[in-house]
Amino acid sequence: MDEENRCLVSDLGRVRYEEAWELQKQLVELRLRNIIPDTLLLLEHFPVITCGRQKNWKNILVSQEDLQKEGIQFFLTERGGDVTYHGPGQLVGYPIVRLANRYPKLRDYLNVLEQLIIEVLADYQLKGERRTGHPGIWTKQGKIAFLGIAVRDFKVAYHGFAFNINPRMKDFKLINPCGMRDLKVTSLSQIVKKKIEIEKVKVKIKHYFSQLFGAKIQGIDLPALRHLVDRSFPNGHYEN
Amino acid sequence: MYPSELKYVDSHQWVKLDGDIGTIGITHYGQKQLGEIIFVELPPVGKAIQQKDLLAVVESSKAAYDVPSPLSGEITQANSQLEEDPSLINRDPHGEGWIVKIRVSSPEELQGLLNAQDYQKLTGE
Repeated sequence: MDEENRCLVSDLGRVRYEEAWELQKQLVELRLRNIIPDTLLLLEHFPVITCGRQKNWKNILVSQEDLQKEGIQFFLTERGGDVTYHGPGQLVGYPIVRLANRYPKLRDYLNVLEQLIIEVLADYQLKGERRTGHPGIWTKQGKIAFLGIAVRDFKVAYHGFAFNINPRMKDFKLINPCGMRDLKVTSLSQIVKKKIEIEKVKVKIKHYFSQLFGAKIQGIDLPALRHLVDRSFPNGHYEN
Repeated sequence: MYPSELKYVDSHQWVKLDGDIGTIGITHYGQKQLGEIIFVELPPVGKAIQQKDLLAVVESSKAAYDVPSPLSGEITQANSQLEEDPSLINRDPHGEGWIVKIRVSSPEELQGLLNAQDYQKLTGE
């Protein structure tokens, strides 16, 4: 079995942030030990604001109490990038990828993730653009996709991308997304002026992911993924 | 390219030993992989660290890299220059861009580290 060309893809549906986070960390361990090939998780989160390593609290514009009142969770994470928002209607992708020889430079890996979004936008006759010095994808109407990555042992990347399909746009006003004040944020549905189903976008993401990463996709459902994890960590301990 | 008096690990860190104090940093290959480093999170002085534990975090372009410790010991110094000037790691990775100094607690761990030649082979440079 040629591990280099195989990629597991799991659609988690709508999950709590901490659930997907825990799963990511477990999968990173398995990837480091080559127990699994590269794996892509596709999902939506319940409303949540997350901060990267730099802990730029000032980019959250409301108090913790206000967040709680709105039913929005908050997490401090180990990814790069600044403050961001996730919620239903935003397609989140967490590729767990061994960088190694394929992506000797971080920029190469980010380029591929950006290209993924560009390809999907092209299917909607939209032009996604990069901005030098600011990873992510922009359209004329604003920023539409966000990147935030973490890397373990300089070997395995996790966290990933967030692509606005039809999220609750007003929630972005609670933060300075990516630490940028007055950043214009948009969504696919907002631009094309009709509701785009996230399920249709997932199909495109899988297709272009397979193409760009040169990988044969193998679908795996969440229970099977969990079984794989439980089997590898029988005592529940996976941290080094 | 890779100073012969340093020891290396395959996660792209280097160690320089001076008595029982080890200076640790990221290698030239490691910093190249990262691109311009914009943020460094240093550990507190006095922290006890095991081999492979999280030593520091460096960030570049939306990616945060956990830097694992090549050795076990106690942090005696952290390079605070990096808080003002994180890209020092890019400019002088084996010198001024050092990240921490530790008092080595298990010198036998040094046996498992790579020499300059083997590390260079690993990077394929």
